[in-house]
Amino acid sequence: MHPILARLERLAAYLALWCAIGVLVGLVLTQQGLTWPEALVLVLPPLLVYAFVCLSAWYVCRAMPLASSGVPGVLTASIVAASVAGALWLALDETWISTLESMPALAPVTVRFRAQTPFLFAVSVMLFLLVLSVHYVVLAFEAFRDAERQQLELKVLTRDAELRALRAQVDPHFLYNSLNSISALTGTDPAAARRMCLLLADFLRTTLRVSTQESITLAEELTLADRFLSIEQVRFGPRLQVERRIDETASQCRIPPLVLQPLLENAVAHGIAGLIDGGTIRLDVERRNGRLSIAVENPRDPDALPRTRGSGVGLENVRRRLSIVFGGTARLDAVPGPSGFRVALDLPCAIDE
Amino acid sequence: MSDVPPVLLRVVIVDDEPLARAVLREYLTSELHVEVVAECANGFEAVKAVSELAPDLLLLDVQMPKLDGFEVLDLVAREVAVVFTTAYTSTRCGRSRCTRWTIC
Repeated sequence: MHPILARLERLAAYLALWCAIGVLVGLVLTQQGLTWPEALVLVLPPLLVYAFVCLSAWYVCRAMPLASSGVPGVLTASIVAASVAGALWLALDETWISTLESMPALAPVTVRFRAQTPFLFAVSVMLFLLVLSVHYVVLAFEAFRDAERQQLELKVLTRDAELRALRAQVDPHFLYNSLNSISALTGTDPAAARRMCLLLADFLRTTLRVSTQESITLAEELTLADRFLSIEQVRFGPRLQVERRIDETASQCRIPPLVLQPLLENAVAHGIAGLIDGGTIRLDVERRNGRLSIAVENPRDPDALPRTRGSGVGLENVRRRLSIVFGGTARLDAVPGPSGFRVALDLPCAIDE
Repeated sequence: MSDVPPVLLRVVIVDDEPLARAVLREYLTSELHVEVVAECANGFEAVKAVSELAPDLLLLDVQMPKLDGFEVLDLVAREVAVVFTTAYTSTRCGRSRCTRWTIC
């Protein structure tokens, strides 16, 4: 259905516009010897009917879209449609004048009315072409808006897909090592084995839950980090020490899930695991001026070869996720020192009220 | 003395993870003809233990801090049988090192 016919107020506005056009045409007619009442009587009624004829331009536009029909096609269609509309106008005009002729009081003026037929025919054809072009412009504008919206939707979809692809996964080595630890404990310390199983189950459950969420609170991420470190402490014993300095006011900051996790995995795998006596992982969290900074620092073997098992990938993944979620307002700095490695995240602290 | 087998296999366990050492020791306690003479948490301790205790068998982890299993074998001068006890997979085992010890 034509969008103008679909809504009563649009139709009313459309007809009001045509009344205005009728008055303008009437104005021209008064210049040619008709009085105002005569001009309006002659023009307005058939013009308002003609307004509906002109709505057919919509279907011409739909049948012959600018983008795919080419200029000759559109021109031909327009000329044919305008001719048909003009013919309809002639029929309307003639019917109206004949009706007026049948009224004795008006019969004398109809002779002067008929004299205006060529002029009104020309006007009707031009009006149809005008309506047609307006339709084309409106349709082009709508198509542009649609394309814009689609592009935006595509962008959002791409971003979502990328985020899904980058979503942090549990490191299979971690799972493997933990299962080995549990297996070792079952012989010597069954109670500890059970504790470890529960810790691991809890860790996996939480990881699965949060990984599908867009954001979680820092408190949740820290709980997950504690579980992870407790499990690794079973494996490394006293070689793995952890020192936390947590700003409690930061706990409700919302962050993308599992951005801290890969940093800790790295700190254990590439720091502590490479040291005979192990060392201390330092975790610093601070909230200041609406920003949240998280830093993970670990000692490492200065003689060790440059990092081997894909730590760069893990960091790059976190960096990419931050840039997708926060644009340029978040950063990840990795600072390799001579005897330690420090990774610092700096991101906006958003809090749900 | 009649219930002790005449040949006693003297074993050194090398692994940086205490739990891994514990599980190996646990497996070996049921073996009457095996004696665990030392547990080492790193490569240096392992090299020292091999030269001082002259074990018959080394249960050797590969991935360890500082000195890995292969480097331990490079450093020990003595003849010793070795069983690698490791999570180290052949895909990550450098070709030259593995062929040298004909393992993996």
